[in-house]
Formats: sequence, C-alpha cells, structure tokens
Amino acid sequence: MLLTNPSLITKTKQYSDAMGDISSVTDDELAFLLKQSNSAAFEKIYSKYWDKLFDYAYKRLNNAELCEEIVQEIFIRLWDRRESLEFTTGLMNYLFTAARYSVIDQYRRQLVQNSFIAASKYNLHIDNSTEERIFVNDLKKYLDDLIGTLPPKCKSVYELSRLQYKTNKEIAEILHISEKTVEGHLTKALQRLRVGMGELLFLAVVFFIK
Amino acid sequence: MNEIQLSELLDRYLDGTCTSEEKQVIDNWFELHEDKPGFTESLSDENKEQLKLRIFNAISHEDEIKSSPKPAVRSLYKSWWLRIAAAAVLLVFAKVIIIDIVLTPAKFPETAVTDMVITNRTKNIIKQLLPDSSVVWLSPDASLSYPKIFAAASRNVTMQGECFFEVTKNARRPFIISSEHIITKVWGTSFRVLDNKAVSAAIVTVVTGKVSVSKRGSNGERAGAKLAAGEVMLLPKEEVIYNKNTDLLVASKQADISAVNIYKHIDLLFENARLTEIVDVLNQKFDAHIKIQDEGLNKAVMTADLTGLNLPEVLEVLKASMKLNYEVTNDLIVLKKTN
Repeated sequence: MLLTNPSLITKTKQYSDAMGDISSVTDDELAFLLKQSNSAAFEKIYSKYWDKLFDYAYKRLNNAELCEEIVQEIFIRLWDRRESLEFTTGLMNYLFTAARYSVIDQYRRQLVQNSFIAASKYNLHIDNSTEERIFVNDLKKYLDDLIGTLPPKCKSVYELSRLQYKTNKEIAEILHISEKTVEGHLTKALQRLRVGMGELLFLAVVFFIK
Repeated sequence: MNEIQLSELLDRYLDGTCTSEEKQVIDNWFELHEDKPGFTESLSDENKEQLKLRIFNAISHEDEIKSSPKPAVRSLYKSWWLRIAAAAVLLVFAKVIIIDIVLTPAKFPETAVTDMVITNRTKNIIKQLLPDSSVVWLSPDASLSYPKIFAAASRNVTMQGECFFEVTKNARRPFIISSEHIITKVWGTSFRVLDNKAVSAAIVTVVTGKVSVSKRGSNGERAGAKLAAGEVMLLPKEEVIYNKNTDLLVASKQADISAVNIYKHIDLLFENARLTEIVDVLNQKFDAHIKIQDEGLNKAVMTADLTGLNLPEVLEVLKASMKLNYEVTNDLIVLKKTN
C-alpha cells in the first residue's frame, strides 16, 4: 500500500532476543509453533485475538451469545486443524476471514430460515425486528442500491445472469440482443460494481493494515 | 434482489464461487460496520477477563472430548504462565552464516545418490528452499548439498563457501551443517558460520538464537542430535573462531554482527525515489556497502512497497524493475546497468 507521503518511510523489524519476552513473538512465529502443537502458542494466539474477533463479529451481529459461539468455533477449528492449516496471508488474516465467514453464515441461515417459514403453509410470523434481520436487510439494501446505479441494460443483464442464473444465450433471447452484447454488458456491470467500491475498498485495506 | 437470491449469493461467497467483484462488494459492506462499538471494549476489566476465561474453557473442553488421547491437548490445562515461559524458550531464533571457502574442487563425502547439490556460479546471492521450508542464501561460489527428503532424526546438509541459513524450528529434528572444518548444529532457527580454509580459520557468528559448534571428527560430530563434550554452545551476538594451526575452538562473547545485517528482514517504502536515494537507505538499513557503477543508473526512479525483505530480495526487486544487475565481491555490492 503506497502512502501519500513522498518521503522515504522505513520500518525495521528487529529480531527477537533469545530469551525475549513472548509479547515480541510475531504471528508467523506463533503460527509456526502452533503447527507443532505448541499449546502455549495457541493460548497466546487466543489471548491476542479473542476480543478483537469477538468485537469484529459483534459489530455485525449485535448478539453477544452468537459471538461467543463464533469465537469458540474459530479457535476449536484452529486447534483441530493446526497441522494442516496454511496461513498463506498470515495468521491474523486467517482469523478475521474465519470470523467474517461465520458472520455471513449466520446471515445465510437467517435468510434460509425465513424463506422456509414464508413458504410453509402455516405462514408463521416472521420477526423482522431482530438485530440479525437488521443487518441482513441493510446488506440487501446496499446491494440493491449498487445494482440500481448500473445503466438499465447492464442492470437487466446482471440480474438475469447473476441472480436468476440465466445463460448468456437465454438472456440474449429475452432482451433481443446478441450474445456478444450480453457478455459486454455483464463485464461492464461487474466492472462498475468494482469501480463504485473503489473508495470503500481503500478504507478496508487501511483498516486491515492498521 | 429477493431473499433467496441474497442467500444464494452468500452461499457462493462462502464456498468461494462468487466473482471477485461480488466478493469485494460484500467485503466492503462488511467493513462499513467497523466503526460500530464492540462488545468486549464496553466491559469492565474483570468481566472481560471472565468472558475470556469462559470461552477458553469451552474451547479446551471441546478439545478434551474430541481428542483426549493426545498429550499435546492435555497440556492446554497446565498453568498459563508456565506455558508462556516454555514458549519463550522455544522461540529462540538463531542467525548464522557459514563461510567455508575451499580452494579444492567440491567434494561431499556424505553425499548419497539422492542428494541435491547446488553451486552458485553467479555473482548474485542465490536463495535455495529446502524440503523442510528452511531457506539458505548462497553467496557467489558457495555450494550446498542436501537430501531430497530429510531423515526423521535430524536434518543434515553439507556446505562450502559462505551460506546464510534461516532454519525452520523443529526441536525433534535438529539441523546439522557439515563444512570443511566444523560441524554446526542449530538448536534455534537460523544462523551464520564462516569456515575459511584459505586462512585456516572458521568463524560462527550467532545474531539471535542458539547454535552449537564442534570440530570435525570430534565427539560432537558423532553425537548427532545430542550435545557432546567439546561442543561450544553459542547464544546471540556470540562468536566462535576455529583456528586450524592451534586446532582450537575459541568463543568470544562480543561479536560484530554487522556483516549479517544484509539478511535482516525489513519493511521499506519508496515513492518516486531515485536509485541513489534507495542505495543510501539500503546501505544504512542493512549496514551494506552498495555502489552504483554506471552513472546512467543514478536518475532511475522507483516506487515500491517492500515488506519483510532482506537485502538479497531487495536486490532482486531492483534487478527486475530497473534494468540493472548486481555483483557481490566480499562485502562490496556493485550495481551495473544491463541492456
């Protein structure tokens, strides 16, 4: 990540001393020890990250009980799979990605549950006021808004392709355009989504390197 | 987008089949909530500690059920502080460079048919990855021999010339280096040895970590993974010199470690920096002696974010991006223009 400061910025990573205290141990070293079933390294990783992961999930679920389960699950899996895990983008990245997937899995469950209830003949009351529900609705609105910013043809193609799983050939027939044009619109739609996100992406990266 | 479509999109996100654009959109939405208040930060220290312990106990309990026969799991219950002390000892890191300049043709008596032999005939520093993920940096003219698969009991390699080792930690499989005059055993993680036949001296310098050194043919060589009488144990910033004339290993407590600083891993950020500026920074940060041979290179400009690289790696980046090559002669590194 390039900073705007034009001067040369340097950071030096010092080697940890032989008997250096454990707080200076890097994540890579902890990950390495973890793979060798070093339980002290596991505890250290837990102490270092449990609250950050808890809060990371809590900000998106607003439900402490669920977050407790999520943190538990992340660390149980970390220990169970310690020998086979490859932390290609670092331990911290692995943990936060695991937390993000757990949260999104919660949303997915909520959606599936709702669809199931709505489809059942009993037509049970759906509680749309729970915190999770608020987040799911917010995500849905966010996506709808983004898709709404696409030019009309692009938008139709995107919806037919990515949301209704129509093939390019089917879309061409529905919209009376050539398959080639469908491809063009789809590429443009995906690019637009990415460009629209440019600024936010920058913030996300800054957050991760903090 | 209806609910089923959204749940299908999340499905695709979770099994990794959504497009990178869709993933980005969801990730971005995710980060929008980062500034919200967390839960644990609102708790008192006491309550936070309780929650921490409760979740940890649940994790340990789960482990006990799933894999109780494994002793490694049971050790989770030992005293917290004892465990941390143990980790501090285990995290000993070592840096050693071995220089064993030999004028006679390469010979590797222990070499089995399946061994890999690599000799650096370039003027660059070459990086070689070993089967256990350890890394060896070979200076010009250095040779290294290692098996395709390391033995279960120990990891044995043979070398000549100057090599810098970054050895992965494995207490049960020590890393043992045989060179012309000495045997170097790594008890920590990485290290430097200098064994120079030409001047009849061998030097091992430890920057950080733990390394033991013994003479060829001594008890130490036969002891393998054990520590034997006559072996010199070195801790950080210590050095041992083997003198061929006196046949003695002499330890020194205060070593000059500036020579191994080029193997430090450093973060560097260059924004429209001229090569002259870059060289100044590299010389300062790595204690190096880099010179630019061709004036035409002076005005070359580079923008780069280099994270966690040592000097040989930085030189590779310069090579790839600035039409130059470098030559290492002893301490001196000369940058030359290429076509």
